Amino acid sequence: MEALILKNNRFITYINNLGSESLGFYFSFILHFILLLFAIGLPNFFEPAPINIPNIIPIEIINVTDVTSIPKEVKEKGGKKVNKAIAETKKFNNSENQEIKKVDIKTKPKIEPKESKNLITPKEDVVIKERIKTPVKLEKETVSKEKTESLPSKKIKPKIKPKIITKSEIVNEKKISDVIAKAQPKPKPEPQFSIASMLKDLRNEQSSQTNEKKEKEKKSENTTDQEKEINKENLQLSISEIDLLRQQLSSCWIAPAGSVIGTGMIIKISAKIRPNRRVYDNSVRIVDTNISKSNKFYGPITESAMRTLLNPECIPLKLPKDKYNLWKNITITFDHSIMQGVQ
Amino acid sequence: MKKTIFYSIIIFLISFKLHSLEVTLTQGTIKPTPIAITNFYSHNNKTLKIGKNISMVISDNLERSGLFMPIERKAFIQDEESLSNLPRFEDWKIIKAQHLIAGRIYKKNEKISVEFRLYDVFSQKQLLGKKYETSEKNWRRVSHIISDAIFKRITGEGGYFDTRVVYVAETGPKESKQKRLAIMDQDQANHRFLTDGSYLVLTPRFSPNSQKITYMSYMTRNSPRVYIFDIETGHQEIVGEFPGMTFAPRFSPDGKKIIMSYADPDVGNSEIYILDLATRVSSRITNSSAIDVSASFSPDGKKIVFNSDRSGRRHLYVAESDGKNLKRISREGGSYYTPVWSPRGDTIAFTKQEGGQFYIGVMETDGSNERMIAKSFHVEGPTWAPNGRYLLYFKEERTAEDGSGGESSLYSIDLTGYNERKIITPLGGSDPAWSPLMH
Repeated sequence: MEALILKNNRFITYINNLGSESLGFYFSFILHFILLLFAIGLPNFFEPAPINIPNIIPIEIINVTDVTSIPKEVKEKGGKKVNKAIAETKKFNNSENQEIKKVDIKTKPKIEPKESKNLITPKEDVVIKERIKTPVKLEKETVSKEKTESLPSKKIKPKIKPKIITKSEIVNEKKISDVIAKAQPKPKPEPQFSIASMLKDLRNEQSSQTNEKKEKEKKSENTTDQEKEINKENLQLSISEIDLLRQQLSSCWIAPAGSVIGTGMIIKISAKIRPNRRVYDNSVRIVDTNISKSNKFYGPITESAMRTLLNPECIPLKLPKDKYNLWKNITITFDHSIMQGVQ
Repeated sequence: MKKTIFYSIIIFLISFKLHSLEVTLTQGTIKPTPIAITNFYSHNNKTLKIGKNISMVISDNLERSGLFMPIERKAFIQDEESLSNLPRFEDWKIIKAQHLIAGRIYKKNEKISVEFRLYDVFSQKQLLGKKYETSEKNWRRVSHIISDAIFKRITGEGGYFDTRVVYVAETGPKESKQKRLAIMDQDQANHRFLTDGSYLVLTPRFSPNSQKITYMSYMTRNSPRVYIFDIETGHQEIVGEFPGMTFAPRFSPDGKKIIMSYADPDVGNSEIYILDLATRVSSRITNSSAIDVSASFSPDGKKIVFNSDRSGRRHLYVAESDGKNLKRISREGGSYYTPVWSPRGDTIAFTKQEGGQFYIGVMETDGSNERMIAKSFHVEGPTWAPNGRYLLYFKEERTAEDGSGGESSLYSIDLTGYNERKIITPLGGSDPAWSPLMH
């Protein structure tokens, strides 16, 4: 107590010692600060930050949600893989070609043929030119033929043009014998030991090595980009996910029987959701409403809103499990402006 | 150090944000509320039967309202005995019941005590619980009172089940129909005739306490008069001796006055009069050369609505109860008849004739938002349920060339124009009047 009095005294003496100008300055500062506080208002640190969801017209067809719910990553991944595959097909004797092709076939059989057709055409020209120059052509052609039979993807086209060459050389008996030889299940044709072809192989190896490095770099870049994208997308729910939830909740919101609902009546409820997408017991609360408690329909209208989340048809809620952090707290606004015909 | 701690706390608080997913719903499902109504349980076999009857009446009442869909009893998983202790809400969720009604019935001496509980199945809470004690023969009335309590708790709107309907029962050919006053519960139970049909009766209306009926009768053939009928005693009395015809009577909301039309032979047209029942003094409300008829009080008794042909065609007019501030409220084409002020006070129901058709319509008290809710060759005489949500009226069939047909029946309809239902009566019916709540 004494200490307080002492402090008070010190404070009073401090104020007394202050010059009139500095005292005025302090008072004006404090007053301005208070005015600012009134004008701006104290920040509410506990207010839940609303997630900005674009205004979307609710879609009733669920198929739309299926389409829109396809993660963008998948599309981009597919696209990138195709590009990679194209880049790889440019190389000669690249062992990774086959692997990539297999992956392509497995993953997206529908998308790839279109893209591969368009993208492969320029490669064919390159391949053909090279093949025309070298005598290895026939062997490669035949090998490629075998591949076309087994793998219907990107190697189809490189083989189509060499067919012209084979037509012109079909007359040669050697070719026939070669073809017969190639028909046997030899994995690789015997290499011809011409210096030019050796140099070419070396060049190819070098180029393939450098390309591989580049690809690896690209891959690593791509993966980091993808991860970033995934993280970004995990930060918000997709349109289709929100649509799906909205549709589900609309079916669970049974309009209060017989209540007269005025224009613009709004009820906002909040609830905490478990990771299993069920509402925590007793967590459903009315956050805000413009309906007066004296309104005789206040009870039925608010109860019908709160009952929405408890409706067995809304258990569990249709929410993506992996984005729990985004929907562990949910706020639903029931806007009766369209429901006003309900009486 | 302290400063850094202080600032770090502030920064933490600023960065502390509760993420919340926000969804806006603008469309819901509009359908009758599924409700499970179980038989009221009793250890005694006799009272068990009463319990079954009570739950049956409640179920029929709620179903008839169009707002509830009672669930088939065969679907119930939990039996009445265990339910009388505590409901297993999961069993009721499975059958998609949104509300559950359970009850018990006991017999003490000559009285029965009926208790019931209304549950919200989804939130697993009891919404209502009440107990009534009455004589055994009153079980039906208790059922209606319970129905009203449930209806009010769920919808927020007052009930209308513990009410009666008085109407004009009709038999015979169109030219010489026998017309009798008849009364019944709103669910058509306890039907009885009040008059023997030896004289013509028209436009019966209930008093606010539901114990008296005012109507127009041709008891004295040459001078039709307004009468009051006491339901309990059967006593009838004429409301006043007038040289001309008095007709279309209605009680004031306090039951102390009657508003009616009087055709004074000296004036030559009918005007609106208010008759004080205590003093038997009448006062003229309207004064014009036109025919003013079918007056009805607003629920607070401060205003009246009636129809008049002062503009050339029959239209609806609203005025103060003393006749001042007269204002025409109907603006559309056609002729308007029999306006009745809603017990809610916000709507007026009326009969309209236009283009060879009759309509039952409603409009706001200023004449706005006029809409038709029923249409037929001949529909007429709307009367409001005490909660202002439902209407009764009568519909007359077209008479065939051979003279057949032409029968009239009572119908009920929702204010929204949905849920039109025929009221089954022993004879044909017209001029219905719905009583106020009796409890």
